[in-house]
Amino acid sequence: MKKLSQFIVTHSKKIVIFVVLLTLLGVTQVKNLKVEDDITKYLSENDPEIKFYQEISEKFGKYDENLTLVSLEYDDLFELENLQNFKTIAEQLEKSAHVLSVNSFLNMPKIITTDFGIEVREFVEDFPKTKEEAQQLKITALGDELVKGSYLSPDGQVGLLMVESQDNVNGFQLKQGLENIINQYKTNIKRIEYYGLPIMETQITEMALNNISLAFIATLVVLTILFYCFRSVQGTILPILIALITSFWLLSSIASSGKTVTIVISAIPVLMIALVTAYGIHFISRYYEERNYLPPQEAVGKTIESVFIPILMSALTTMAGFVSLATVVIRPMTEFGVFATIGIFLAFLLVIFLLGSIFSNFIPKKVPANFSYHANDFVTRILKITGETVINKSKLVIVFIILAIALSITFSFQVESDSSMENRLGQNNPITQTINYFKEKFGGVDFLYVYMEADNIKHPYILRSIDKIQKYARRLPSLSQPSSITTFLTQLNDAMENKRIIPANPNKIDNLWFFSGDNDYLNSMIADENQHQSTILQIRSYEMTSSAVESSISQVEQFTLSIPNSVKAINLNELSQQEREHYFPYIVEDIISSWQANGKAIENREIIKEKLLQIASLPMSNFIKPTRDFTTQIIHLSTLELEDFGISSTEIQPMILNYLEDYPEEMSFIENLIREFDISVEDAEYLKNVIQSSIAIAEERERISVARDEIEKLLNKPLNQEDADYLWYLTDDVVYIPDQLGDTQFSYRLTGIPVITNEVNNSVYQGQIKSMLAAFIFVCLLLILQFGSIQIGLIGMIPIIFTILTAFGIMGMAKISLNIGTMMVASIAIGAGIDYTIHFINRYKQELIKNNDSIKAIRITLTGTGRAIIFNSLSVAAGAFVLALSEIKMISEFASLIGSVMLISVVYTLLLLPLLLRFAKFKEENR
Amino acid sequence: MKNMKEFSISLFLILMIMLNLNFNGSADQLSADQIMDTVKDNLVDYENSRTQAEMILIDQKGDEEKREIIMVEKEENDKVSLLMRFLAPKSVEGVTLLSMEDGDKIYLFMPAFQKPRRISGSTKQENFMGTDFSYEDISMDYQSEEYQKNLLKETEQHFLIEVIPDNQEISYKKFLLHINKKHFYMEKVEFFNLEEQLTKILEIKEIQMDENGKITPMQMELSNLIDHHQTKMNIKEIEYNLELSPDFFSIRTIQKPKI
Repeated sequence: MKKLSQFIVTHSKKIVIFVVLLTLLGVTQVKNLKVEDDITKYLSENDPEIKFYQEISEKFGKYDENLTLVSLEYDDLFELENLQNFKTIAEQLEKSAHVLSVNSFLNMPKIITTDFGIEVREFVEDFPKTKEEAQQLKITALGDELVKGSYLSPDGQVGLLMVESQDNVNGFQLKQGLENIINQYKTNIKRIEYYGLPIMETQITEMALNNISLAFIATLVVLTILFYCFRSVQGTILPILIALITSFWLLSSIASSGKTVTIVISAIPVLMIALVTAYGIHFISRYYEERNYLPPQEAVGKTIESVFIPILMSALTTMAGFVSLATVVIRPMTEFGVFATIGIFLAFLLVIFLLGSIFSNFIPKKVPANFSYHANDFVTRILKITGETVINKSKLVIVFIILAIALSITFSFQVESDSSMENRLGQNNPITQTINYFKEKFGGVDFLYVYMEADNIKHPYILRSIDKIQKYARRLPSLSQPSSITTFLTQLNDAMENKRIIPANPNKIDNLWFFSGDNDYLNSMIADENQHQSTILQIRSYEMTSSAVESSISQVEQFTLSIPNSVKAINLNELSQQEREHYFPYIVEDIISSWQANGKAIENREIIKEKLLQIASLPMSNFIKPTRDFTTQIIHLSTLELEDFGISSTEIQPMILNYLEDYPEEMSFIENLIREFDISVEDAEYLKNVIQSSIAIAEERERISVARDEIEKLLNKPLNQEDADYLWYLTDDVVYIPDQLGDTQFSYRLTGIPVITNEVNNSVYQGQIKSMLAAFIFVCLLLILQFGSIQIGLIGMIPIIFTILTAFGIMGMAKISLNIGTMMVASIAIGAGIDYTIHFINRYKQELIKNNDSIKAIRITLTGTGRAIIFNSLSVAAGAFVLALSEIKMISEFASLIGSVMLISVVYTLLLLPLLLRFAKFKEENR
Repeated sequence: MKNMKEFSISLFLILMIMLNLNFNGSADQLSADQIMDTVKDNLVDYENSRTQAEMILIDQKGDEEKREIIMVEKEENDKVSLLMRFLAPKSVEGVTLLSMEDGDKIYLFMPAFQKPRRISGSTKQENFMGTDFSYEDISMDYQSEEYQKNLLKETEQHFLIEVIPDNQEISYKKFLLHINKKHFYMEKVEFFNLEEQLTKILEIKEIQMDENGKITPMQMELSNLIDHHQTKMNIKEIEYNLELSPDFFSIRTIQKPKI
C-alpha cells in the first residue's frame, strides 16, 4: 500500500496529464453517441422470438419499422373543405422527400358491384363536388370494414395517413418534412398526431438526452450538500469532478464501443454523481483529518493507505450489485450493469489516483479545522434518541420492524411485471399520449401478427381458418381491427357471386386472386410470392398493459391450436348424392364453429346441426320454383348473355317458365330456343347452359334463404348478416376433413411487438430473481470475507433483505410495476446499501474491542458512524431524486425507488443492526 | 408482384402501340411525318391477328413469373377489339378478357365462376383493373391529328421524334420515339407523365421481317420506372387475316372452351 501511495505522489503530475488526455480523447468519441431504445432489441438477436420477428418483418417489408401514422382531426372530416384539405395533404406528403407511399381511406381498394359487373377501384375515385356527395361518402366510408376504424375514426372526425418512409430514414428529418407540409394546410385541423418508430426514436433520443442533462441539476444538488459537509472549495468540487469525469468516460466508451445509449443507460451520469461522490467524500475527509497532524505530502500518502481498502470494499459491493444485472438476458440491463460496474471501478481508480495526485500538486493552504463527524447537531441528537430507543425499547423497535415487513410482504404480492410502452414511458409522456389517442381513435398502434405458412397459403381451408381466427381475435378486449387477405377476398367473392364468404373451391380462389392479385394491399400481405407460401393476419393491439395483451395472445394461440392444421379435400362434384351426405356434417360443423368464433352463443347445437344437415341433404328440385319471381331472377342472372343475342326478358320468360315446370328435361327448351330466336344448335346449347347455371345459382339462393328462416326460428332470434353469410357454406362443392396425412397443411406462429413485450416481461421476472440472487451471493461473500465470519456476513445481509422487501411493498402500494427500470433497484440497493452495514459493523467492532461493552459500542457507533451514514445516504438519495424528474416514467420510478431504498436502508441499518449485533461474536473479541 | 392482368394489359398496350401508332403531323413537320409514314408503311397491314405469346414479368426483386396467352385482335372503324385468354399456368387457365371498341366495353370470364362479368368503364386516367396501365394507355387514339411531332435529333442509328398530345384529357405530356434508321421501326418509346417524368419505356428487342419487308416485333420489353418492374414478351406465333365469325368478339366466345 505504501508503494502505491508513493507511486501516486511521485507520478502525480503524469497522472493528472494522463487523465486530462484521456478526457480529451473522450471528447472526440462522445459526438458519435447514438441513442436508441427499441424493444425489439431488448433481447438477444439470437432469441427465437426476436429472430422470428425480424424474419417476418423482413418478409413483409419492415412494416413496423418504416411506417409513420399521421392522424388529422377535424370537426367533421366530411365537410367538403376539410375533405379537400385532407386529400391535398395526402398528395403533398406523397411527393415529399423520404416518403415512399401514403395510404389513406382515399386510396383503399373498394369493390364496386354493378349490374352483372364488378370493379375494383380506389375508395374515393370521384372526389365529392357537393356537400351532399361528401356526406354520402361519409356514410359509405363508415360502412366499409376495411376503412372504418382502420383509416377513419368511427366518429368520422379523424382521418389516418399511413406514411411509408425509406429504410433507415432520420426520424427528425422525417417529422420535420411531414410537419412542414401539414403546417401549411392546418387551418381547420383540430389535432395532429404523429406516431412511428423513426419519429418515436427521435422523441426518445430527446428524452434520454434530457436524462443525461439532469446530471447538471444533480451536480448542483450534490454540490450544495458537499458544501454543507466540507465548507471548502476542493471538498465541494473534487468529489463531483470525479463523478463527472467517470460519467464522461463512460459515455465516451459507449460511443467508441459502437453501443447505443438506451433509456436505462441515460440514467448512468446522474447515478454516478449520486453514488461515487461518496468515495470522494471519504478520501477528502480523511485527507483533511490527516492534514491536522501531517505535512501535505505525507497526508496524501497516509490518506491513500487508509482509505484504499474501505473504498475498494465499498466499490466492490456496489459493483457486485451492478454486475449482477449482467446476468439478465435483457440487453439494456446487461449493458447498464456492465457500464455501471466499469463506472464504479473507474471512479474508485480516479478517487485514489486522481485525488491523490491533485492533493500532491495543488496543496490546500488550509483545511477545515473542525472537520469531523463528531458534531452535536440536530442529526446527532436524533441519532442519540434512536440509540436509546434501540437499547431500552428494543421490543417496540422489533414490533415496528415486524409490522413494516408484514405490510411490505402483503403489498409486494401486488407488484406486477409490465414492460409495455405506456408503463415504460408513463401516462403523461407525449409518446404515451399519442399512443392513447391512436388507441382511442384507431384501436392501438401495435400489431399482433398471426403468421401462417403453407405450400399454398391461398388455399380455401387456410383462408377460412384465418377468417375464424380474426373473428375470434377481434372479440378479445385487448385486440381489434384484424386485417388479412381474407377480408378483401371475401368482399371480392361477394361481388362475384353474392356470397360473402371465402369460397371452398380452390379454382375460385385462383380466379379471385387473378382479379385482385396486383392490389398493393394484398401484395403487402403475402410473402414468397411466387409460391404464395406465407401470409400474416395483423391485429391491432388495444390494451397497453402487458398482462391484458399476454392473456389475449395466449387465447389467440389456444384458439388457433384448436383448428386442425392438416386436412384433405373431398370434391363433392365427384360423388353421388348419397356419398355427399356423408360429408355434410363437416360442412355443418364448419358453419357452427365459424359462428362460435364470431361470438355466437348456440344453446340447442344438436337441433341446429340436424336442421342444417336436413337442408343440405334436400334435393335441388325442392328449391326450384316455376314461378314468375324465380324466372325473373334467372333472367336477371343471364342478362349479359341474353343481351349478347339480343333476346329480351319478355321473349324468353315463358320459355324458362315451361323449362322449370319440366325441369330437368331440356330437349324441348333447346328446340324452343332454336325455333323462337332462329339460332344455331350450338348457340341454343350454349344458351341452355347459361340458363342452367343461372337456375343453379337461384336454387342456391333459395336454399340459403330457407336455411336462414329455419335457423332463426330455432334460435328464436334473427341471425346477424355475418352469421347468416356462413350459411353459404351449405353450397360448398369441396369439403375439407381433418387428416394428419392430408394434402393441405399449415403452420402458424404469433409474433409482433406485443409478443416481444411479453417475452421481455417474462425475462424481467426471471431477470429480477437471477440478478437479485447474484447480487445477494456476491455481496454476502464479500461481507463474510471482510469480517472473516459467516455469522457476521449473514447478519449484515438482514437489513438489506428487509430494505428490499420494503421496497417491493412500496412498489405494491404505489402500484409501481416491475419493468426493466424498476427491476434494477433491488440489485443496486443490495450493492450500494450494504456500504452502510459495512461501515456500521466496522465501527461497532472497533468500539466493542476498545470498550468491551456492546451497549456503549452501539451508542458510539450510532452517533459516530450513524451520522456519516445519514449524510452519505442523503447525498445519494438527493442525487437519485433529481433523476426522478425524468419525463420517462420507468426512470423516474427507478430513481425514486433508489433514493427511497437508500434512506430505508439507513433506517434498517440503524434500527436493526444494533439489535442483531448483540448476538454477534467477533473473533477479535477474544484477543 | 405483377399478376396476369398486368401481363395482359402490357401485351395489349404493346400491340396497340406497335400496330396502331400512326402520326399524321401538320405540314410544317414534314420530316417527322415522313419518318412516321415510313414506319407505318413498314408494318404488316392486316384486318385481324392471332398471337400466341409468352410473357415474363419481373418484379423489383428480380423474381420472374411466366404466363402464356393467346390473343385475337381486330380493328374496325378505327376501333380495336381484343380477346385474350390465359393458357398457362394452370391456376388461371381459361381466364378470358374481352375488350370491345377501344375498351369501351370490357368483359371478364373466370371459369370457376361460370358467369361473365362486365368490368365497369371508368375515367380514362383510372388504372385498368387496378394495374399501372390506364384505360387511356390501351385505348388512346394515336392517330389523332392533335399530336404534335418534332424531329429532335438524328443520330447514326436513330431518329428521335418527340410527340406531344395537345388533348388535355391525356395524362401524358409527351412521348419520345427512337426510330431505327435502317429498318424504320420504333425501337424504343419513352413515356413522360404530365410532370414530364419518364415513367415507362418500351423497347423492341427483336423483329421479324417478311418477304415484303414488313416488320413484326417479336421480342419486347416494357419497363415501369415507377414501380420498378418489367414485362418481357416473346411472340411465339402470329397469324394475320384469319376467318373470324362476325360475332367472334362477343360474350358467347369468351365462355367457349376453345377460341
